[in-house]
Amino acid sequence: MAVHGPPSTQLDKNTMGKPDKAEIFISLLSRHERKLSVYVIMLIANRSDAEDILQQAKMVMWRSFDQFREGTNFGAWARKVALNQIMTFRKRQKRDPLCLSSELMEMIAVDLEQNNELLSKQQSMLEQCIEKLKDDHQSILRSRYHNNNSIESIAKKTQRTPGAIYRLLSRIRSNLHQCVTAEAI
Amino acid sequence: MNKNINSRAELTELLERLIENRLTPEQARQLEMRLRSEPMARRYYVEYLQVHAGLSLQDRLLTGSSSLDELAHAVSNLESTAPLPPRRVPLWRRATPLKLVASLVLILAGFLLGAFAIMSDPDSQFIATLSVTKNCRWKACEQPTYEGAEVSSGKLELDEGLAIIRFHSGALLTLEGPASIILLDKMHCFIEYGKLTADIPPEAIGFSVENQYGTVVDFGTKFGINALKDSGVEVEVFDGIVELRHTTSDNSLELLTGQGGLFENKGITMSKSQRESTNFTKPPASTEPPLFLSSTFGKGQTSYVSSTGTVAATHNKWETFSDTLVLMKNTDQHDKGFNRKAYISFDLEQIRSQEVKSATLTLQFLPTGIGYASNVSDCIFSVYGIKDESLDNWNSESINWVNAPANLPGGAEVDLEKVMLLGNFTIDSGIQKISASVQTQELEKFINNDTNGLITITIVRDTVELQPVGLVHGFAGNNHPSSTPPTLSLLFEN
Repeated sequence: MAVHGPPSTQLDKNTMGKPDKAEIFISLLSRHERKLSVYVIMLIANRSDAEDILQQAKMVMWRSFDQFREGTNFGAWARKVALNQIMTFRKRQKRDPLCLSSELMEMIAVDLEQNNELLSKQQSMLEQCIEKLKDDHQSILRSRYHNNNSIESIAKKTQRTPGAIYRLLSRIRSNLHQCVTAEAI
Repeated sequence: MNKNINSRAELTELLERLIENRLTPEQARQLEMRLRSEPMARRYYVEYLQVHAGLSLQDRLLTGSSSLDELAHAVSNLESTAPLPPRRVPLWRRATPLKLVASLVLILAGFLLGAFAIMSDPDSQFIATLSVTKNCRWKACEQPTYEGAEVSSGKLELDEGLAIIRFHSGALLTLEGPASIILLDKMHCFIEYGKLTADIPPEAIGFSVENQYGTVVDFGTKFGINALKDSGVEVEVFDGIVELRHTTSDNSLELLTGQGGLFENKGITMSKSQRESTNFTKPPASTEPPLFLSSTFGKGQTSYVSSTGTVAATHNKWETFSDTLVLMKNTDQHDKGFNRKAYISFDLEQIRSQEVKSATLTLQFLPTGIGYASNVSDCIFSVYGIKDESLDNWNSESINWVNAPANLPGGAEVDLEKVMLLGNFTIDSGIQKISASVQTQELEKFINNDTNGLITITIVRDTVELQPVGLVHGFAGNNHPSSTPPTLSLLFEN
């Protein structure tokens, strides 16, 4: 299927040894991918929607990559593209009353930019904080986040109520939040 | 202090409900109000949500298992409570670096769009229908391009004609060739170049058309987009509201009925007033209207000669003649096929005193029904002017292969001593209905050099058919009942 991008064979370095556009793009995106994903999930909360937005944002970034000036802040550029995609997504949702407004998201996006460094530090602490969790708490996080089990599904498997699972997950996340904010100071 | 603690606990609860999709409308309103009015609450939001985001991407969770025993143990110390109402739980597909690289390779190879569509809507990979195709000539693509075809994510490149694409969301796009569009999903597309108009019904509000500079988001409206190659993208709202969002800046613009906007590298600008549709596609600058001179005027004639004999002679003998179309063919199968060459004359009597500064010859090609189009490749045609004015007195009824001005035996051969080449044009393989034009200084010079008020032009197909029984090309002649005969479009010096 034809798309306005170079064929995959162009991923190889050219004869002059100079990386081509695709290589540069992949390299930059690889370096910033995780932070970009965190950024979008923080703004949109819903992981499924966040993934759709990220996929869309990556395609837009690739198509607009000619406009990115090498040497400038790719992360900031990528976040702008992603934020625009979030806004487009929100409009498409016809302003779902159960989601935050676009105006508020823009305010939060400003906060994110202003606290970027501290947040990065806190993010890097997260793994250590997870390691400090009891195994069974790690297990329930794994079930919820990695295995994509719903709260209802976990409740059924463990013969507990969804409310109990919900509160346990809340407590674990709250503990992790206290851990990363304390450790990052 | 207690108030602060309670306040923080309440906020935590609201954030937990946001994360797990369990907010009620009232709770959503409370959260919105608090976050808007309290900078510290926003700070807390950011820190709390980043834990959720980090967990979503955490490799640490990839190791270990989540056995039932562990899960049961984890909840064993918690008291039972009434279950919360079930909500949609999203399916998270993790974005590991390996997956990222793989997905980018797919983007570059052009497969992501299809894969994405399938992931988004596993029940159907089709996202739109080509509901109408009018005089369409498509560039090579992997999508079906016949009328009524179901199409999936991917590119559609239209060389000529009008195509109406009905997305499964209800959005209706009319693509005007030449134009190229990439269908992304039933609510999104990307225009690479060319023009389209969009008619978006209420059920497809939010439909967006991306371009290299940004996105046009619809709010139930009709609008037009003209993506110019290298010089911006114009948007015009015919009815309703659209929003223009620039990709790399904070620039956005809301356009209402009658307003227009322009995407450029630097951002979006609004046009000052409603533009006329004629301004949307700029016609060639001209301070005076051209004179259209038809071959039906005065002593003008059209005919063709065939290597089998005169048109009149073959009229009742062969089915492969036409008295309305002017035919051309070039074959090396002399025993199985007939070469044909076209002749046109224009009466210049009315313009003899004027100096032509621009001249265009236009021919309306139509299907002849003779031969197979698949037996010819892209065909180049040569247009010659007969220099020897004594040869202008040919007659469309009696002209034949032997007496035709400057004719030689081959399918494309002419007596170069008696003619001058005025120009060439090409008709792509498979195309039979097309308007072909020649606009050259040679044509202009040829007309200006005329002294007897009559010019003769002969047209030959340089390209030989690939196999016997190849397509015979033909354009509308003076006797055609509905299509325009050969026409000269002339501009004059003051």
